[in-house]
Amino acid sequence: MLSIKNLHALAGEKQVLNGLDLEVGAGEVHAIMGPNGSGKSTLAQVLAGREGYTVTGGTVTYKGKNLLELSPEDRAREGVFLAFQYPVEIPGVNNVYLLKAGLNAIRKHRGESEMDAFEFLTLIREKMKLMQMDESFLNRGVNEGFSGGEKKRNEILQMSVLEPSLALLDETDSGLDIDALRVVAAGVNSLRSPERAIVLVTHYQRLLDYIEPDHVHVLSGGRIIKSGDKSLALELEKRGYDWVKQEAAA
Amino acid sequence: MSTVAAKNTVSPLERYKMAFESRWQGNDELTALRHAALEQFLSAGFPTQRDEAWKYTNLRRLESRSFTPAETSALDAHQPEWLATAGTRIVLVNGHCLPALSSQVAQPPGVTVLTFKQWIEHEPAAVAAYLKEQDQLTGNALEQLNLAFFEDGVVVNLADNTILDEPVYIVHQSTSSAAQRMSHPRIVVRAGRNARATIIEHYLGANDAEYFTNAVTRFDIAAGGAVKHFRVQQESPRAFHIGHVQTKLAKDARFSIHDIALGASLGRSGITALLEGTGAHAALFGLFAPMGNQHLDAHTRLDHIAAHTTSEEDYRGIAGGRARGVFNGKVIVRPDAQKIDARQSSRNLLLSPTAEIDTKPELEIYANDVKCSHGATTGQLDATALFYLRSRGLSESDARAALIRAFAESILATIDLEPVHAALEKQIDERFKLVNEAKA
Amino acid sequence: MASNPQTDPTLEALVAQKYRHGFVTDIESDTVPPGLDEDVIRLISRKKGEPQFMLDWRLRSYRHWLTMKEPHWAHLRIQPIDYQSISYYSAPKPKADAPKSLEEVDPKLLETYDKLGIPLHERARLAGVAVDAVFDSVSVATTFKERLHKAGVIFCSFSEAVQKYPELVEKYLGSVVPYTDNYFATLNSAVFTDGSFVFVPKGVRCPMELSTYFRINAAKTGQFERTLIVAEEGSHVSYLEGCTAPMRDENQLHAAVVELIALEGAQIKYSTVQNWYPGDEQGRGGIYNFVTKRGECRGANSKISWTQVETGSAITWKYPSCILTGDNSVGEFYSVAVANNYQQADTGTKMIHIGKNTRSTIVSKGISAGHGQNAYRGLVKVLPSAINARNFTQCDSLLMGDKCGAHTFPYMEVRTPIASVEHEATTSKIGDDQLFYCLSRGISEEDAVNMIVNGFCKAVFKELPMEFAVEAQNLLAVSLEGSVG
Repeated sequence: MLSIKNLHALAGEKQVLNGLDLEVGAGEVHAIMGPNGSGKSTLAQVLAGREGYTVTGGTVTYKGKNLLELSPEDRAREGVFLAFQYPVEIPGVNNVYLLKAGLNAIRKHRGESEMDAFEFLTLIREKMKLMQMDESFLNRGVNEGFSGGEKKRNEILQMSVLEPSLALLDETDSGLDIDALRVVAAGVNSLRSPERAIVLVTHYQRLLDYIEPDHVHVLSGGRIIKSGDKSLALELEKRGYDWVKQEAAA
Repeated sequence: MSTVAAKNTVSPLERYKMAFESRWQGNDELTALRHAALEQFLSAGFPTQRDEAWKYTNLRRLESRSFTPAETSALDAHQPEWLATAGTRIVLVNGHCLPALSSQVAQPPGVTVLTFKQWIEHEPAAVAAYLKEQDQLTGNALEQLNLAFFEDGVVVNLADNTILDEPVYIVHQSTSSAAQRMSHPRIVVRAGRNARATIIEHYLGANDAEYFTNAVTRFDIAAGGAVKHFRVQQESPRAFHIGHVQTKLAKDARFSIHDIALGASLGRSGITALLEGTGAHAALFGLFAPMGNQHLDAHTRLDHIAAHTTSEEDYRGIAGGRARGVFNGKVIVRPDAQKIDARQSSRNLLLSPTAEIDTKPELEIYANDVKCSHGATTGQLDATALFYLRSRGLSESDARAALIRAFAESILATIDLEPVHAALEKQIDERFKLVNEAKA
Repeated sequence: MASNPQTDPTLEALVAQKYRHGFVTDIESDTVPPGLDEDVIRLISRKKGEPQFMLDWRLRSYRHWLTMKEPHWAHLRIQPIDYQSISYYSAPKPKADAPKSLEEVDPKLLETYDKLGIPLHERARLAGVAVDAVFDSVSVATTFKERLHKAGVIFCSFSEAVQKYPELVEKYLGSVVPYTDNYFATLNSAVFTDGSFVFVPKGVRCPMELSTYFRINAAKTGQFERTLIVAEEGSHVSYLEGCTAPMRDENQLHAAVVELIALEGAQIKYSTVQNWYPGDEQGRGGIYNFVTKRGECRGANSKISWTQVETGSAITWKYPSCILTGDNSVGEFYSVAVANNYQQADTGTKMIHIGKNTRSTIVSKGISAGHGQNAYRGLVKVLPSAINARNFTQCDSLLMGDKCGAHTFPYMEVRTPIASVEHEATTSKIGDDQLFYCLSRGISEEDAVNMIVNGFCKAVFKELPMEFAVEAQNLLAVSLEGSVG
């Protein structure tokens, strides 16, 4: 589904990604781990098409298309979803409105009919139950005045409504207490399916106790320096990152 | 009889003209400059309340007086306390430097501290050239008045990369013999690249004297330089005090001012920072606390001329009695000065039903990639907090004093020079204890 | 969500169009030659068959006006106005007598309203809105008179009020905005030709929204209308006003005066959607909109609320104000002002707190785009008598494009310690991160910008009656056309 080859990218003027390779197939869950500054978030932003990040080399192919050529909204419409590490507050713009506009843009893109307000509300109420979100959420501005946990839940809610093919979760576990983490993880797990790929970007192994990955990659210096299964994550938790770096350097 | 009659027919501006003519003759370059400045002052006259910048401050009372240039004198027996700071102390009495009272410590290489008089004596051409470039065409009428009449002051020059560890403490002392006189001190601080310095200006006056201080202070901070300025105004309660501080900041320069106004019958501090180089940062902190019949006005202007410049401003006002406090702060972002971050806050406390506070925080923005905000509040002591303190056993006046102090504290806390901080805490406490006792 | 009109399907169509109201209606006008002197004023008064007190008041105003100087323009670039080149009276020529019903109104005129999207006839009835349409300065016809009449509400043109209710006019005219108030209000007092009059008697809740549309049609005319609304004890009224003008290269002057009087317990809600011709992309032409609007909460517990959406005019200069005389009275000001291309908006409010426990709220949203300059100028004054007065002001500016400007000039004068005045202001551009967030959810850039701008203005739009809110959002999209991307 997603094929990244020899990706080089700048964040601002700083070289952050240095020849990153990654293959993600449908139905798979990948965890990308790494110390601070290794390029995890840059990878997520580059894949979502954020301005300020410049690809200087390599290719990213998504469902056979050159992902890098697409605008951010077209990526979203093609089924790429980024759960932001720091979801932005947009005062005055209603949560439901944003989601409905986004969903209908995606449905239209897929050649499906647009949802009316009633259908949509039924859908979102059901999803909100799953995320244990309060009804008052419907009337609030996008992330406006949300706590850190609420913002993250809102990201997963959006994901469950938009039903992407490729979900990128950028440090979704950061700032969550254990209960919120469980809810978020349950939300993500409910979206696991043979047609969908999920890429988790995380600093800690903690999240992986709840969302079991098929593959674990260590990112360091802008490249993947080691890959393995979920046992690699446990080893990282125990031994830290340095040994992997040394091993890679050797 | 005849003198009274004569006085009534001479207009206020003519009196300044006469004072000038009896003092400054000769045809050197500096006198020519003074003369031009006087002409500008005379043609503009004292600002009136129709002038937006003086909307809340009426100078008619000042204008009606006939002040003549002050002479130096011996100190009074009773005088307010000077701050006990380390470093160089320079004392100006009635606007004239008194070397006997000043304490010069050895300056590190690259630092020169001299009186304005000395500078004029040694380099008259350089002085004239400097004033011509810096002041001749800019500045309001009162700055022109200073240029016409100034006699002395302090000049601090810091060569590139020099760091002045100890502050330069400048005392502006007006004595009882300054009554019905005016002084126009002028301070110039030029900091070279990466130079650092702390400058304290302290304005003090004999208790019952009515006089007029019209001070000009100029900072010029080269790339990477940093200047910290403490300005403490404790003039006589009958005095008129107008202060003009203007700072130019080059690339990555930093400037902070702590502008504290407690004294004078009518006091105004006009603070301008020109952020001319990218990366420059200016921080303005101020506290004005008029009581009785005092009128204190803080007028600031942060001018973001270059892109990538930042500023912060926090002013607090406390007015009691029949006093009036004014805050007028303007933030300007020039066309194409992108990536600006400017925050301004003005908080004010009214303690009596006859006091008044007027605030006017302004944003004038001509570039789009900016983050600018301001907040202003005027209110009273929090009744709940007052009740809470009293329910814990504090007397009402102690509780009020504690809350007033807490309100002032956020500005006092920015004063990171201990002798200044301690002296001001004491001042504030005494001042509001007095108010509360008078109330009780 | 039914409460979310942001999904209006016509938005894209609206974005694609130029100034929609820019056509000229070819109607025979009865226009006096340009120029102003006492004879012109006498002529206006005579044409309108006014009683002596009106003529006297006009002449007093005119003589005072001659002693005044044009205001000094703090933040406006302005072409000098030649007051002698303006025609002070332009009325659609009467066929025989004044129309007595809609059927008698010139069909061409009605067509004009159709083009404006305010069909007097059909839509007004459907919408339950009573419309008083002012065309160049003369009120054409007022609908729904009868229903209002039953409720005891007087809603008619100003000229009619002068004829039928001279005692009410004489009592209240100039009692909030005296004829000496300011240069433009004084000029208006001398030359105003028509406007609206509303009188809601004691205890009456006006059964429908009252609405007026203003339009400047004839070239080289000024529009000087006058609105007077009196709400007696315990009454309620909501009044809407909409404004348009055709495209012309020269600047036209609009100097209106609006006076509101709320007696004890009365509530007046006054909403404006102002879309006068703003001039073209180069800043040629457009209306000079210099308006004096002021309300007085004369009685205790009364309330006056101003809501305005100002998208049009080359220059807007208006400060709808509240004098809070009555104890516990409430003043509100909600404003969205747009300055695109070379438009200049200098607008805000004055809240004068006189009575005890008076409260005021100010919410101002300024949007600057192109070379537009947008200034908020506001005064909050708390007099010593206004014990326990409260004010809150929120004043935000949004910048779109790097050649525009946003300015904030709040004045706060507080003279009692038992009061609280708070002002907050922010200025920023549309956040790149907000934009990206919307894009990454599949929304197009244009829609994303419209969403964010509407979100920015939401606190004001929600104060508008529903119908107006939709129109306001559409206007916003149209007036910001081309300023994003």
